[in-house]
This record gives sequence, C-alpha cells and structure tokens, in this order.
Amino acid sequence: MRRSIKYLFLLVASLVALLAMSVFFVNRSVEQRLARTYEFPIEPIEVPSDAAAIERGRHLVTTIFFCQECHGEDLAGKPHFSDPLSGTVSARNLTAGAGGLGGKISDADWVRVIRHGVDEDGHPLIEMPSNSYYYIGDADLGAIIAFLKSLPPVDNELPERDLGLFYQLAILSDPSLIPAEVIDHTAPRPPAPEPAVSAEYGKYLATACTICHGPDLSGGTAAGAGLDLTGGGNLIEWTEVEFMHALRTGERPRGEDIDPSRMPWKRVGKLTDDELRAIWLYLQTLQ
Amino acid sequence: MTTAKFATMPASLDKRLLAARTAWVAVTVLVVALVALGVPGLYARLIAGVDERSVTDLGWTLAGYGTYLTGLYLLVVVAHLVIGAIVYWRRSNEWIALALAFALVCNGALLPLSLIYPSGSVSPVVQLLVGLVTYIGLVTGLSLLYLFPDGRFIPRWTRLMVIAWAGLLSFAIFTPNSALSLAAWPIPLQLLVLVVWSGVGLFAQLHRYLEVSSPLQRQQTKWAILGLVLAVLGPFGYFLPFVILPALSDPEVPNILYQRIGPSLFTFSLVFRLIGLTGFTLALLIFPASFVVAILRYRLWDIDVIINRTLVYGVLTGTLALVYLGGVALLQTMFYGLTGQGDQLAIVATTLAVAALFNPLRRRIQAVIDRRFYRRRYDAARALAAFSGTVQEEVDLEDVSQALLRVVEETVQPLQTSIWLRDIRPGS
Repeated sequence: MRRSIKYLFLLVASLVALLAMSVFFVNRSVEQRLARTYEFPIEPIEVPSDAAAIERGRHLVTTIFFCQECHGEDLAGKPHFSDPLSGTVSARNLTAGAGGLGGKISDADWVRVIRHGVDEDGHPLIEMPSNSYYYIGDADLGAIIAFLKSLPPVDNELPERDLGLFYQLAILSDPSLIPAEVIDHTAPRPPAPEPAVSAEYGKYLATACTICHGPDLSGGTAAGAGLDLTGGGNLIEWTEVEFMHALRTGERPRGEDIDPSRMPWKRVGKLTDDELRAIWLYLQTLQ
Repeated sequence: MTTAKFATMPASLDKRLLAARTAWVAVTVLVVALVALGVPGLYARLIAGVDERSVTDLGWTLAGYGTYLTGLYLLVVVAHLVIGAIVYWRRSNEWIALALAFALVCNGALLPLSLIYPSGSVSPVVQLLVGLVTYIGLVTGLSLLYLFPDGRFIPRWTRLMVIAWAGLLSFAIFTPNSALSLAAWPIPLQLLVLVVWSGVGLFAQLHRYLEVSSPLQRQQTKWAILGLVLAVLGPFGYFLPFVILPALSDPEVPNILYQRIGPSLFTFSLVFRLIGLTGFTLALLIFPASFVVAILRYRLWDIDVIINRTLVYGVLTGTLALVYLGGVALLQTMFYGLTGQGDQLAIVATTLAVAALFNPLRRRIQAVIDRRFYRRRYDAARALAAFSGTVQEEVDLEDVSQALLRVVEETVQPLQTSIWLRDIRPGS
C-alpha cells in the first residue's frame, strides 16, 4: 500500500513537473517572439487632411475593413479577454483621448501598425489582421490614417497586454496571430486598382472577407465561419440583385435572416452600389 | 449519541421544536417551488450565456449543453433534499438533526437559486424569498460547525460567534446596501470575516474532537465535519469558477475576432470551463455525501437502513436510466444501419433488458454498498466462516491462536491484539 502511494506520488510529482516545464517553455517561447523588435523601411505615405479623404477613410474603416468589430463603435478600444487562463488582451484605443494612440504616434507609426502589424516601438501586435491589410493601397491607407487622426478623443485607458497560457498556446498553434511574423515586410506590393465596377477592384475590397470566409473565400471550417462564396458555393443560386439586397437588408433570397453577430452585413451593406457590384463580379470569378 | 429528545423536553421547548419542524416543511416547499419554477429560466439563461460556436465546435448542441448543466444543478438540489428529508423524517425530534435538515435543504439550493434569480433582476418578493433560503442555509451551515454533534456550544463563548454571524448575514442579505452589510465591505475584510468565523468553527470542532468526544463520536463525526467545513467554505467556491475560469465562451466575442483567433482557444476554454463547473458543482455533493458516510458507516443517528435503501435504489434508478437511454440510442443506430428502421424494436429490446437487469443489478449494488459501508457485517461473516474451517483442520494451539488473532485483527481492526492463555499444568 505504502509503495503504491509512493509510486502514485512520484507519478503525480512527475506530471506536475512536466506540466510546469511545458508552461514555462510555452511562456518563454511566446514572450520571446513578442519581445522581438522589427526593423524595416517604412514607405512614406501621404496622409491628406481634406474632408473628402477623411470621408473616404471613414467609409473604409466603418464598412469593409471591420475595424469597429474589434476596436468598438467609437474606435476607443475595448477589452477582449480578461481572465487568468487566457490573459488580458484588448483592442487598442485609436482616438487621441487618454490611453489612445491618436496624437501620440507618427504617420509612419500608423503605417507600421496597420500594414505591418508592428507597434510604434517595433514590437509585434497580436490579433491585428495586418496580413490582410498589407495590400491596402497607399491612397486608401492615407485616407484611413487621416480619418483615424480626425476621431474625437475618447478617454479609455485599457489594461496592458498580459497573455495567459491558453492564449499563448493559441499563438503557438497559429503563427498568423502574430501577423508581423507571416508578413514579408519588404515584398513588393501590387498597385491598388482604381475604384471601378471590376472584379479586380472587388478582390481588393474583399480582402478582409478572407478572415471569416477563408483565404480563397471558399468558406471557413470553424463553427460560425463564413459561407462558401465561390462559384459553386452557397451563393450559386443568387443573383447580383439578391446579393445586394441580402447585404443591405440582412435577408437572404429565400427570406431567412442573416445573423448580424456572425456576418456583419450592417457594415458591408453601407458599401456603395458600385463597390458591392465589384465584389459580386469578383465572386463570380471564383471557382 | 447523547442528544436531547423531543419526548423528554418541557412543553415550551416542545412547542418551539414543533414550530421549527413546521418551518422546515415550509422552507422545503419554498425551495422546491423556487427551483421548479426557475428551471426553464435557468436553462434559458445557461443557453444564452454560452457561445454557440464553441458548443457546436465541441460537437454538442445548445440543448445538450443546457440540459447537462441544468441536470447537474438539479442533481445537487435533489441530493441535498433527499438526505435532508430522511434526516428530518427520522430525527427531527432532535434540534441538531433538524438544523442539519435545514442546512441540507437550503445549502443545496444556494448555487442554483443564485443562478436562477440573480440579485436585482427579480421582483422584491422573490428576492426576499431567495434571501430567506440563503440566510437559513448560511446560518445553519455555520452553526452546525459550532454545534455538531451534540447541539451544545463547546466552548460556550462560541455561541456569540453564531449570533454575530446571524446578525452580519441579515444585513448582508436583506439590506445589502447598508453600511453594516458584509457585502458592502472591502473584499479583504469580507475574506477576513469568513476566515475568522470558519476558523473558529474548525477550532471548536478540533477542541471537541480531542477533548470532549467519545471514541464512537469521533468516528461518527469525522466525516460529518468534513462535510460541514465544505458547506461553510462553499460560498467561497461559488465565486471561484467565475474568477479563475475563462470567460471566452461568452457570446459577445465578435465573429471576426473569433475567426481571426481560431476556434481552438474558445473551444478549449469552454471545455475547461465545463470541467471546472462540473467539478465545483459535484464538490457541493460532498456536504450531503459526508453525512451519508457518517450515517452508514458509523451509525450516526441510527438511520443507516433508510440511507442504505435510498442509496441502493438511487444508484439503481440512475444506472438503469443510463442503460435504457444508452441502449435505445445504440440499438436504434444499429437497427437503422441494418434495416433502415427499428424505433419500436430498440425500445422493446432495451425495456426487456432493463427489466432483466433489475434484480441482478440491485443485488450487485447492494453488495458493493455493504462492502463499502457495512464492512464489519460483510467481513465478519466471511471471516467467521474461514476461521471455523481453520479450527476444524488445526490441532496445534499456536496455529489456532495465530488464526484467532488474524480473524480479530481483520474484523475488529484493533490497535493491538493479544491472547492470554490459562496455564493448566499441574501445580500452576
């Protein structure tokens, strides 16, 4: 009996030691990756200040790039997680209020943050979908920065990032959660297409759609993932009019509602007719 | 066990006990009504409070998730109610047993009621009734720690602790916003109060165990005290899951963020949360379970036969229900695979199997419970049979003595055993 207890104790102690070592390894590994400093040349971007550019920026931020989904409706940031096992993670306050980025970082820093997923100190961000935003054209990026700089200040001090074990494990299993690691920061960027009712421009606009609908828009595999938007997919019987109607009203051709908590149709539905037509044209090219 | 009996009490005490017994019935009816009426709301709240994506990713349905957790909470309530009702039925002529019956009925409902009727979201009348159940549960739970097993305060000054506790709780539950309310005090002070009151209770039990209790009382009470300590510390536990378990399964996580991070983090968190909640909820069963052990194993209050039957038929019913449900599901799948139909056939076959299983399973469960809790009766019969066989075959006195010692050690398990033999040599 005593021998059994001894072996049991040794087994439990070994497992605890193994677990502690694993946790230590995971923590060290992720923290080292997040402590890395990224240095690369930042392309100079012209940030306009005219009303039209700011309006263009507002249009992009509040519709197809889904910034408010994570940063909140007023873009003043919001906490995502706060528990010991997942840690504390927040989307940053983008305004010039207390705790915000606005007014504190340069235009080059904005580019670094949005396009490269790297903060003003050169450290990698997490969650930020910069691998999708990397292809935003210079003019649109300038407009977005102009809009963000024009935001009314909102005081919102958010807690410092402090990743818990669960989140660290998620990062280990999915490198794209640190977008700076998967972006080729010096790769040539294709020129942004001119706004037009074209499949090429539709593809440009649909870049952020890949987050939920998968890299080739053929639908995600996770629960709640986006539909298959390719030619033979879930929209096979839809027409352009029905597509636009669905995104404007949240109602599918057969009358079912689109759940706004799954598909942010209220944001996408604010795109112009031409922009929606461009996206539709692009979807028709997908097989 | 020495406790004052109803029959020997003066008339005034007699009336008070009668009133207390009536109050127990009223409180029990209240608890059952509050829980029964709140079950649909609890189910809906549980479903609304979880991220469907994570539940789906786990291969489960929202209905399954809601049913599982609702069933778990109801299991806690029913287990407390059953043991409380048995104690009341057989021993409510003793104050201490009646207090335990109150504590069981009310404490078992504390967690489900706090989930069903969260503070501030129900009518004042319901809030008052829930507060009453909570108050009785927490006061009787701690009082038992000071009074168990004979209903006397030892040391005597500990009665002041119970009076103060009852006062503190009355402010905390019925006037939560007042300055005297424990709930309005800083967290460290609240913790200090809980630690002091439960610590003194533990000290009182330790003192009683070492200095006052008889050996039999010690055996009877050691399990019960474990349950009491957990019942007192239980309120800490209610908040623990919400403090340390991840909140990632909340449905507020935007889908774009969910998809960006990937489902594994959220699903893993949900699994962890489910395991945690299951563990914490089942831990609440230790309170009634410890009294069951004390009653069955050490004949606390001599109501072991009733508990024994309840345990046997409770386990039997649960096992047969599982066999029935599992059998129907399994056979339906098999029959559909083979013939494309078979609903009725599966039900008939499983019903017959359950009927055939009833008696063998009952005997098996009875044997297991007897072996666990009626060790002396179970072992003594076997040991005596073995010993009589040995004696018939042995002629050597030394061997017989060794066999006798062995039998005594195995059955009675004394600290020390020796045999004194009378010397029958001539002249001795």
